[in-house]
Amino acid sequence: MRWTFRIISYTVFVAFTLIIGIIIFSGVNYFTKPGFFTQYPKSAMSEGGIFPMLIGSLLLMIVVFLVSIPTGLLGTIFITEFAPRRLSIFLQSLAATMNSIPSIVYGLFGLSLFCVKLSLGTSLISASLTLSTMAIPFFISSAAEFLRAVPKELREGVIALGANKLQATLMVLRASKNGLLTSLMLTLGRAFSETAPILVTGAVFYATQLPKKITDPVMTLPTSIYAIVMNLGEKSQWMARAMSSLMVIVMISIYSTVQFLRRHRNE
Amino acid sequence: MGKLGSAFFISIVSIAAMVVAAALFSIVFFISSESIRAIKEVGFGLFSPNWYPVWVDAEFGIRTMLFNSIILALWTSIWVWSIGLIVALYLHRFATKKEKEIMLRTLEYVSGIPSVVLGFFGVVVLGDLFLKFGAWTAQNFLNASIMLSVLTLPFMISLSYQSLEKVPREVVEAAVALGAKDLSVMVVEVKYASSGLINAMLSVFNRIFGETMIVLMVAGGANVLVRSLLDPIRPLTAALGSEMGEVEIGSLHYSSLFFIGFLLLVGSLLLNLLTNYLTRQRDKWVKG
Repeated sequence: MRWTFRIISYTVFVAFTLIIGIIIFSGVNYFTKPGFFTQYPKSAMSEGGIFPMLIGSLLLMIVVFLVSIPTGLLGTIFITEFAPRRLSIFLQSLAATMNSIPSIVYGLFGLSLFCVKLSLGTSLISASLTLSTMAIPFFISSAAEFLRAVPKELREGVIALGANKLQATLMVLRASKNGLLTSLMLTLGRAFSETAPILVTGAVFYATQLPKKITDPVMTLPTSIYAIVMNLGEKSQWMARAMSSLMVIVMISIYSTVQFLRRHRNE
Repeated sequence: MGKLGSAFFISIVSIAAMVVAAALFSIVFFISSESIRAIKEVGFGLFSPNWYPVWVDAEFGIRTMLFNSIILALWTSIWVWSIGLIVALYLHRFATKKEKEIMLRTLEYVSGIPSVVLGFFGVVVLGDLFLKFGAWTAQNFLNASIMLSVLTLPFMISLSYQSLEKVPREVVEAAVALGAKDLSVMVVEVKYASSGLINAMLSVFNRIFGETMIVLMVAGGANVLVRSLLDPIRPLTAALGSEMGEVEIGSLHYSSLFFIGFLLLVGSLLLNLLTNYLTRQRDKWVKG
């Protein structure tokens, strides 16, 4: 019994390690190629570098950060600190429901609202607003847990000392600082790795220049991996390998930081 | 900071929370309103088997894709559920502290791999293996199913592990005191943790059903009903992912694609309700 379970678990574990290893090590040696991080891709993505995809992904993350973190944080504060119990439970389960909606549905929503109705077109801003629609409930679900974990005595103690509600809230935020940072990183990580929504709302496979306005389309890392695999031949595959490797390394650093923060909190 | 400031602060945070509620309703509104045209003009034709959206006599039948999606999701879920539960039980009951730490950490890393990267892995690495072992196509049902398992297993394992860890010691000790051996103790624990496990299982199914990038890249893209594990197939989400970028906005094709999105949305909302209902039932049963 124990041994059957152990063998199955070890097999899963070895398979997972192999997958991560193959993805990282089959791409990481291209990082040292001259101009890999600073050049545009050339000759149907078989030469050059990943500069515009890198900047595109970064720009997306910046806009998602600016839109979704403040909104998400304020929403979380309302849910855990101000809302009456029933409303708070209702809103939290709404956020959980939104987390389970498939990401491609968000893509359709973004296409119909941001690209068509608000006529923003296929653009950086449509893509990042679509991603933000996904990111806000994700952040709320995660952050609400951390804010709820702050002991009630702390809140009551601060108010008993004569603080008003705003000061008490700031106190709670300070107490759950690491938790909020965790939620922030997980949210951005998720937005970074999501492909389907930006595929339909904001990404193009090739652009000769960086987006100048927020209504210009962008190239991003995940959509370029998809484009290379589906449309281009063997010669361009190294670039997809390198980008996959880069994305996995970024995600692993995010999760390592999260694990570090978690250990730090427990001490 | 006076009363006015307080009121201002409260109104800002409540508006932020309302934005979330409004977002869900507007998602439902936009997806359904865009699909009305297809429902009106194609009607029951939407459930016919053939999907030829750009032919002169265009057909917008999603039945084959729908069945393929369901079969793929069910088949994959069954594997993920059973393997996930076994690994979670191992971690919970037998693993040493060191093993637990390393495995849980690796699981977190794997759960962070973007789905497009897994799709790429499926095409390049697993696809080659399939060809080497004599499959007639590199992108097929089994390949997609394996990559979807890699995507959802970490999720299944960590959720089930967490709910198993919540089983109180007394329950286990009482079972042992009554003479239960390894297997029976596990049955007791699984029963006790069942609400969390059901939640994990249904979430896994939901994620597989709605996953787009992997099936788009790895499943093969042939719109025929699956007959063997090595058949290439085309689930619903793959049609959305590949055609949504090229479709003429406002056309009947566009509207039918939104109808697919509408089905996915309704499916995931219903699954959510079912999860809530079942977990509440199990909770009641556990508490007596």
